[in-house]
Amino acid sequence: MSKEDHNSVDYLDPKVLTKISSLELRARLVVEGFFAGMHHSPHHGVSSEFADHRAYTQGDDLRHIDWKIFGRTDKYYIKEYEQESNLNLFVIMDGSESMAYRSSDETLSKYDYASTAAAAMAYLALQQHDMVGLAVFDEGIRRFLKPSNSTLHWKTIARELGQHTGKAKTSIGQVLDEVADRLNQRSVVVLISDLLDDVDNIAKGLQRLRFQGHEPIVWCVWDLAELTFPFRDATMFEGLEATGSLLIDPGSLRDRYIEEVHRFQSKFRTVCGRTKTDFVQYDTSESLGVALSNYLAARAVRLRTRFSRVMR
Amino acid sequence: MLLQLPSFLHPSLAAAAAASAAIPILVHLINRRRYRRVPWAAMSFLFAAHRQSVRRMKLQQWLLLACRTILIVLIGLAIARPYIPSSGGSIFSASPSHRIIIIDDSLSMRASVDGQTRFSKAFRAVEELVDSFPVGDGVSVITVAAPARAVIRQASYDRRAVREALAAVAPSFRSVDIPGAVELATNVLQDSDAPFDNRSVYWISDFPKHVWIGESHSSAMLEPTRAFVALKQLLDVLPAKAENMNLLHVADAGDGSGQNVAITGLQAESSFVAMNLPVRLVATVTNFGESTIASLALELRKDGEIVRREPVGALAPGRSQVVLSSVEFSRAGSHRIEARLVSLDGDALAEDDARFFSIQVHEKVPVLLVDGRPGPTRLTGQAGFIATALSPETSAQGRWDIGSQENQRQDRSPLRAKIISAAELSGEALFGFDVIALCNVQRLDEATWHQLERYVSRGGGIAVFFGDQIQAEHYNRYGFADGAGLLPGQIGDVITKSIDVDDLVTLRLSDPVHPLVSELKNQPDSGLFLARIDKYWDFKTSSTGVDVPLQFTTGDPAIVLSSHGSGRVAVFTSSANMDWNNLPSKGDYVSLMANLMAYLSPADGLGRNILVGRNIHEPLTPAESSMQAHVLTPEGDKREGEMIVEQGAVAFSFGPIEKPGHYQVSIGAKVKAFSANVEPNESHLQASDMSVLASRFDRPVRLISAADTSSVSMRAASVELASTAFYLAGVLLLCELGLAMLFGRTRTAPRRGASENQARRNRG
Repeated sequence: MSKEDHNSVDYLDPKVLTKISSLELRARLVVEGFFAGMHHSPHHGVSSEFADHRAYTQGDDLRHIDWKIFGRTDKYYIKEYEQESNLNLFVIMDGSESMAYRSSDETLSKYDYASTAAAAMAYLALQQHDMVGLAVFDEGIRRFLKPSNSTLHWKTIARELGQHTGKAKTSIGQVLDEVADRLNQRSVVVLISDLLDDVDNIAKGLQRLRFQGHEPIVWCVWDLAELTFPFRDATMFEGLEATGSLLIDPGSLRDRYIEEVHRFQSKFRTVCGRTKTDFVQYDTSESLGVALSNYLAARAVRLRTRFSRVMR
Repeated sequence: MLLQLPSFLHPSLAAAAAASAAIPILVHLINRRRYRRVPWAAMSFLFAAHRQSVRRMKLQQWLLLACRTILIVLIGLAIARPYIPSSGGSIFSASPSHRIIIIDDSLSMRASVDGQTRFSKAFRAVEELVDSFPVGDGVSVITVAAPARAVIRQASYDRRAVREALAAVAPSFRSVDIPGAVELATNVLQDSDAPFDNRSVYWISDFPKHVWIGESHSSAMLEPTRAFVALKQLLDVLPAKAENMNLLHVADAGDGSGQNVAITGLQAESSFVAMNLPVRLVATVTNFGESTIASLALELRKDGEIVRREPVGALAPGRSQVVLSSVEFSRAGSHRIEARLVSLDGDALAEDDARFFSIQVHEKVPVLLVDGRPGPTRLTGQAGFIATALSPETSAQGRWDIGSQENQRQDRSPLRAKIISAAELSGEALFGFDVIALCNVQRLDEATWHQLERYVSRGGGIAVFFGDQIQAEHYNRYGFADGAGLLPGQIGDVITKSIDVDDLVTLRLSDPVHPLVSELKNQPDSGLFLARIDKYWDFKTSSTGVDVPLQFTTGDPAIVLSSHGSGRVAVFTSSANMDWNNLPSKGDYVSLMANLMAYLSPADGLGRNILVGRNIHEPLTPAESSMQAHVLTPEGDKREGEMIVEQGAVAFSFGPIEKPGHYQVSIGAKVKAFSANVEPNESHLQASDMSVLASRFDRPVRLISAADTSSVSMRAASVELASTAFYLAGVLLLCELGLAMLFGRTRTAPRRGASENQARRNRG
């Protein structure tokens, strides 16, 4: 078995995917998203090709009811199409040195956790015949895959995600600008990062993506230790990405540190609210399946609510 | 005004406490060097948090460091016992004093009036004294009972230790050892670190008059007593100020505590006691009080049973009375005699109302007579008259019939003689005899001399009677052996005296108190002094260790006595028979010979009447040395002693004996009785007139009455700060704990579950 295959298997943990799949089936019944309710397309598809009928379920769009069958059978059936959406999923993956951090209590580094999530999402999207693109970056974009809906494309994505060197610094704002320049079609742009960069620059990048019609989503991945700062004894913290070092008694700084984390999260939430960006905080101790399921479920509810308002 | 700085009872501990201040700092520095390295991504938050907290953290750390440092220093200082000197001076001017307590724990301190002993008074007074000593002063404690003992030699600054040491001192049954106590105190003073002016002595005693002043009624005429002279010597090493020599007296002259009657002596009249022969016991009763004792009785016990109750006549103050009582022993061996005063009321000291005596009763003393020229009949030989003298009741026929089995039933003589010739001596078992007498033996071979030396060294007695046969050169060579041999001198020439009545040579006493001849001193008309001496050998005695109790009227020695090893040697410079003198024809010849044999017989039983404070000491035979030995005390306790080796011989030792009474030493199947008695001098309870005593010193001393120690002007007690330091340390410990909890509340790492909850909250 090649390394590529091995990585693929790692990213597609059956347990994770089973949970995601079940959620995706539930989401399809609610919204016209191109996968699992992750995204509700504001546009109708231009090459909708009939695929099958299925029984009407509460919440299905009335426009897709096949009235001819209703006339013959007096039952509601929904027409299903091969391509339900025309939007792309574009994953921007942070591959900087800080993403390589893993505390002693965790099994996955931030990059491992993030890339697993990215691969899973790409898989789901490709399962729905959506186009998936990928950019892996640190100070700049290191690898770029154009969006494609080829079933073989997922393996390419998985291979690119598995090639993490993690030696360079981060420059998220600049990378977002570059991605905005390269994306031609409106896309759901998922930025997966620890966001340890200048918030204002990131805000500008998100703003530009939103301005160009993309829907930016930010998944912030941290190690649990970065959220709780559980250290006790005197510790020399040696900064990744050449950010210096500091010898402290961690206990005496814990509260202040956590306050700083809260302040950062609050500021970033404000930025995301202003740019209408979904912001999700993950920590690497959290079950990936649960985390994605929770997020997608929440998103599905939110989109359904928005759709209902449109229908009224 | 000088700064009032504390001093320390243990300055070295104070220095250590000061040095211990560095411990928390060292721990802090060491901890700073011990850290782990952690790679960290979110450094921006860490730097921001650190920027905000650095001042607060430093303040917290300094506070905790200060708390911990002061806490350790305070505990160390508290252990070092800080105090503020009462002198009001600074640390540089306050020097501690060294106070030496000399407490009399001798027998006389057991005397009591109204149920309160002198010692209990002394103990209370000493406790008050010690309590009044300023903190920081060193205290030494010496006891006076013989042998004087330093209970605390080096100055102790721990009051609790001093009180415990004093509480362990109890009144003894022993006599005083004032020179010993003075010598100890002098040594302690010489070793003292305290300045000369700060050295004081507190002598606590009943100051018996006979010990300190003397017994004469005209004190001005008295010679200074040994105790007085010793104390004067102690004064020479003390500052010449009254407060440096304190005499604390627990008894006053005429306070009534001196009423005492005691048995001051108990012994047998004769040193040699044999079975079935009456022996007279002499008990001396003395009235040490100041009033006449009208009726008194003395109870006599033999081996625990009352055998006599003798009345004692009226006894005037200071007078002694001898009480004689005759007892007889039907069994040989050790016997216990106890005399006790009865019908005695108001006696201040009960411990001297009884006296104990151990007596060794002999069955027969076997004597070997070596006849240098045996005759056809016993009396014509050289040893016949001695044999007859030693057992006068038996027949004078035959060579070996004195004290023989068939005659023993009637024979009440304590001696049993056997006559052999000189040639038979080498084949005889010498150790079967207590005394060997050489009667005009010409010469002995060298091996026999050595054999005799070993015999005497091990306790045997030998008597050498001269005569016409002896070879002076041979005796001088092997018998005297340049002073190393048996003979206590060298033999010169034969001195022949004329038979002229006007120039008659006879005997006279040269040492009338010697036990050998003491009974003759009151008998000037004894036949011995009328005996005619025709010839004798000139004998040049050794310069030391020689007694001459009897001499010729020419001044030459007749009987010369000496010791050799454990035994004794006697030389009679004339003949044992009537060849050179007519002594055997005199009646007292019998008692002289009997006394001589008794004197030479092994001192079995001697040394078994000892004073309290001495050791029981019993020489052992080689066979006894391998046997189990133990002591039965008067209380019936079985105690182990120890075997000691002295001059190649093994002896059993136990002691020192602390209580008077009978002690039974069991060695194998043998039981030997020992008696321990109190020193009669301790019965003198009359206290000195302290003002008279003080006036006899040529420098001031301070007199303190035990009833009023509070009147003594001590320096005000210093303020000890140890407890304060401990309290402060306790408060500081609470502060440190509180601060550590306050500062460390956020330091405790959250548990895993709590971490995840926190993370969830953080995720919002």
